[in-house]
Amino acid sequence: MIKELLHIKVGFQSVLLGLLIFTTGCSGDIKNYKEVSQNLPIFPDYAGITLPPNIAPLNFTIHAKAEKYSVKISAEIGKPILISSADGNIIIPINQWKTLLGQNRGKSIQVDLFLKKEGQWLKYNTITNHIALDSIDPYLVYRLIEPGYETWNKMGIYQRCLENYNESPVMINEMSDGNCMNCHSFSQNNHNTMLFHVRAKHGGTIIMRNGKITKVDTKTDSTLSAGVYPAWHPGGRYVAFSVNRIVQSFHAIPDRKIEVVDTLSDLILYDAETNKVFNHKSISSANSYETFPTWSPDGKFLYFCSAKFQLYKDYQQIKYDLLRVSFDTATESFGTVDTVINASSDNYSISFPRISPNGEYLMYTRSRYGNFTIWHDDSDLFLLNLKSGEISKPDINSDKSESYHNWSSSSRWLVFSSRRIDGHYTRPYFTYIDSLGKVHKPFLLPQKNPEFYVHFLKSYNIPEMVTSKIPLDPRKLEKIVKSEAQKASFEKKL
Amino acid sequence: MKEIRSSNLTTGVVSIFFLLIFGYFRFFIPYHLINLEQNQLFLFSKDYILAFFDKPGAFANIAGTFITQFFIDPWLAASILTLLALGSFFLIRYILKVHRFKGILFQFLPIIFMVAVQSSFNYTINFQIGWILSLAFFAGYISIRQITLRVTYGIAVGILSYYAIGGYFIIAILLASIHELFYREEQKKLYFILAYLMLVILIPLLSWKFIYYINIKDAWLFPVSIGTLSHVNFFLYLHLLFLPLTLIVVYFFLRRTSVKAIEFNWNLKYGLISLVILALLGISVIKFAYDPKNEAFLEIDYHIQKSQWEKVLQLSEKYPGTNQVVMYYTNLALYKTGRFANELFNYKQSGTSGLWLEWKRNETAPFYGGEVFYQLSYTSEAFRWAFEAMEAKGPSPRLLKRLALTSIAHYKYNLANKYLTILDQSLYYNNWAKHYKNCIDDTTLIQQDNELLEKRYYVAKNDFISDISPNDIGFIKLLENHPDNRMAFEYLMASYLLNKNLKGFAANIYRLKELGYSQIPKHFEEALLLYMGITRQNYVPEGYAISSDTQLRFRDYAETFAQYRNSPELAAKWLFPQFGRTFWFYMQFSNSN
Repeated sequence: MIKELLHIKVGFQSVLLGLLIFTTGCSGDIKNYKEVSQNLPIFPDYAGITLPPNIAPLNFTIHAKAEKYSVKISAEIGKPILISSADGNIIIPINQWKTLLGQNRGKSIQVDLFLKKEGQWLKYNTITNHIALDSIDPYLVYRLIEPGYETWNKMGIYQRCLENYNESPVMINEMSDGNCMNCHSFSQNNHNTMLFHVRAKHGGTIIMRNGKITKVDTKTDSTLSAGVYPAWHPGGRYVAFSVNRIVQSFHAIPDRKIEVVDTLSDLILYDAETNKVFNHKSISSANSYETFPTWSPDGKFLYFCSAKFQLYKDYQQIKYDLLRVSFDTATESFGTVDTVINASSDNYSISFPRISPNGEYLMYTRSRYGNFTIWHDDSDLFLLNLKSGEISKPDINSDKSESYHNWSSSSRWLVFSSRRIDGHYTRPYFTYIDSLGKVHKPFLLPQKNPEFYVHFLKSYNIPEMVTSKIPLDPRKLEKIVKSEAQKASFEKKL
Repeated sequence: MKEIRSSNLTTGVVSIFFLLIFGYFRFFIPYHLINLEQNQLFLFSKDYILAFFDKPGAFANIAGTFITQFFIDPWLAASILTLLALGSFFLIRYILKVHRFKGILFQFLPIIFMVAVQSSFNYTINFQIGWILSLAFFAGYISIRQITLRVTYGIAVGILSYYAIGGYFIIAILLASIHELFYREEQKKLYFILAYLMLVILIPLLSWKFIYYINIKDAWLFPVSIGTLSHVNFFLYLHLLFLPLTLIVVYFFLRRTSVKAIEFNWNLKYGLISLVILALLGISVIKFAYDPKNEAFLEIDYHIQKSQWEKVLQLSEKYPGTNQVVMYYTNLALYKTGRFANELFNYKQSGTSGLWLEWKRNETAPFYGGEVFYQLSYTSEAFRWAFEAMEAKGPSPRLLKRLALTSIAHYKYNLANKYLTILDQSLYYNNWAKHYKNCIDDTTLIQQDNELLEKRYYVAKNDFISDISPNDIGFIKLLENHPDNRMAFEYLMASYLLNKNLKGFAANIYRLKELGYSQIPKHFEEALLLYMGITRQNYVPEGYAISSDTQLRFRDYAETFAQYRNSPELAAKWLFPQFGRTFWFYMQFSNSN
């Protein structure tokens, strides 16, 4: 509350000053500006992007020294927004922003940047952004954790309203004896059907289905581990999990930090109705590593990554292909396995396959080897057109790692993790995929304080968009997290 | 005249008492206080300040962290703590006086208990601020005579104090309740006490329900540090409960006797008794709360951070007992002073655990253990250990500086800039941060920074996987990358000697030449002679010879040992005075575990 009041005050002052400067021309006459044919560096880079009509104001910092800064945000319809700043931080008033975006869906928005230097106002190149017709799912869920190696201290799963800056915790480990929690996952962007794992003390998987919460232990005597990487079946009953034995090691050269390698991995299916785990030879072969499951939107196919077994010392030879297997929910039976992308033959490795809810595209991460791509700078996002089979590398990648990603419920927006800012801290970026399949320039999750990311020492882990606010908070979850997990039973499918 | 003399005497006694308190902070625990500063970071940033409001006791925590940054200077630290103690003293004096209890000895007692708990590393200034503000609340409370006004103050300021000082508000409300119950005659006082009780129950409960995401226990106790101060917990209980218990005891005493107030006038008997009690308490603090070993260790740590290696060795020689981190720091200082391979066995050794720290997922191992990697210019590990320490303990100046420097060495300027930007918001490190920000903006400045140039030069070019084990931390791989990494070589050889692995030692002795040693270091000679005696082979690198002095010493050692061959204990006893500082003695008689 205190934080919000302070920010509102700052925003109000900026606008008032902006109005004064633009209307009265005080502090030197801005109307007599000189044009400078130059792009001003701003952070975050919100130039030439496509943004959702319901996104929170894209506050930014102008990285150039000046006596004063003024910004005019205008569009075809509605009043322009005038903002002034003494330090280069441009705080956009939320109500005016929402009005302007709402009035100009499908149209462009112009951002005029003015700097006052040596008493003279200078106008730099105008930034033009596009407002999409399609809204974005209003909530983003992520885990905040230091991008550390082995230690953790404070961490939590949070939800952030994308239409403003409100962030609230779903669960924080300060309320559950400092344990680790990870792998939150939703069924089809549904805020009411989700799960996440609790590790170490109070270990188990917290599952919410249509508002009902349980805690289960998916580890059985017949499986490698408890469920790790999850994927909800669209029906909301089954969850495909990988089960993994994971080894972590650390590189000596600065450009490579951590190696996370599976020494064993399979897939299992968990039936949330019966608290039963089962597997099948097609998804748990002894000669290969199966991991990163994901379902086709109709629930008939389970896609997953698979690599041939290698000794740990040859971890750089572990290359994952993209496979799929049919699944019949009526009989809980699997069909034959097909190879969707044979990446290993091209000496690459695939991870994190994610299919758009409309079934048109599959986005995946590609790197030279392995699957834990957040620590691989060469990791990039690729798009498979499931109708044509065409693979493209959208122009949203950087020279740093692009990794975990997921689709909005409308299939028009994609959120992905990137370390492009400093190579170490993961930040969530959004990109628009239009009806023609064109992937637009991505933009960073906006923050109230545009310098937020400079100081923030946690990573945004597993960004997932959901259609509404999750009806959970740490107080509601504390008791269930600390409760005994119901042990799942195992059934082998031949 | 008598009153004036008494007043002067009181002033004199109080002055001496607080001079002693100042002396304790300045001369007994200065490095403890410096280390507190090294483990926090106060930033002049709105977001940083606002983050404190996520929990009760925001003001105590902000003020405490703010004040701790000044502990960088031990004189300032002692002055601040003495002033806070003096402030507490006057509040206690006023409170006791209002409750008809006068006697300077009793006013000193909670201060002594407070000083005792301040000897614990887990007791930060934040707690002290909470306690003082709870006293200030109560002093304000009892100064109001009019009942309605007093209770209004009690409820309003009581509620506010929860958000300002967290769990310490319970002490404030408890004192107010005791005051009402025993020292006030108003008819409705039980209702007021009930209201206070409700306050203590409801405010944390409602705050837990609607404001804070904290566990239910913390809703009442945060940031009070009950049960976390190990050896000084007893003093903490005395410190917290002194006033409530005293007020109750005074009430019953006054009721049983006909006196209007308890007073102790200055006389020889009272003076002597007070002196004895205070002396006994002072001794108790020194004996039970003060931790001289920890202080000695923190002093060594301080000089390590300042690269005052000779001082580290001086302190290490005086260190009482055995401490793994002290051994580790001593060895580092030996290397940095060029005496490592000649004097390693002059100091306590316990296998390789004194060369590097075992990796542990806790607050201390990564914090102290990263130093050896930085000095080895094994910068990827130095970054990792600093990062892990920051995760475990939170951002601190030492860790942020390490992260910034290693990132610059790795050409990761954006990452370095992040850490520097944070440091730039601090009071004492902003100039340091600005300097390195300038280096990033104008990278030619890095060419003038020998430390950075050295780190950058030794950055590994050929990758290998880190393997921290009791045998090795990657010395051979470091030497493969940079055969001229002298520290990696000496640590490698020391690890062989300390693990009694003479085969490994002999296999690497050839590196002396490529590293430009003019002669074989003493302990290396000792190991070579022994190994050559066992294997009957010559391992002395071409161009080198074992000194005649070492050969003579070895002959003497062997002869003495031969005399007591059948009695190792006796042999050790006779050999120790002359050869206790040799590799031979370590090899034969030391249990490296």
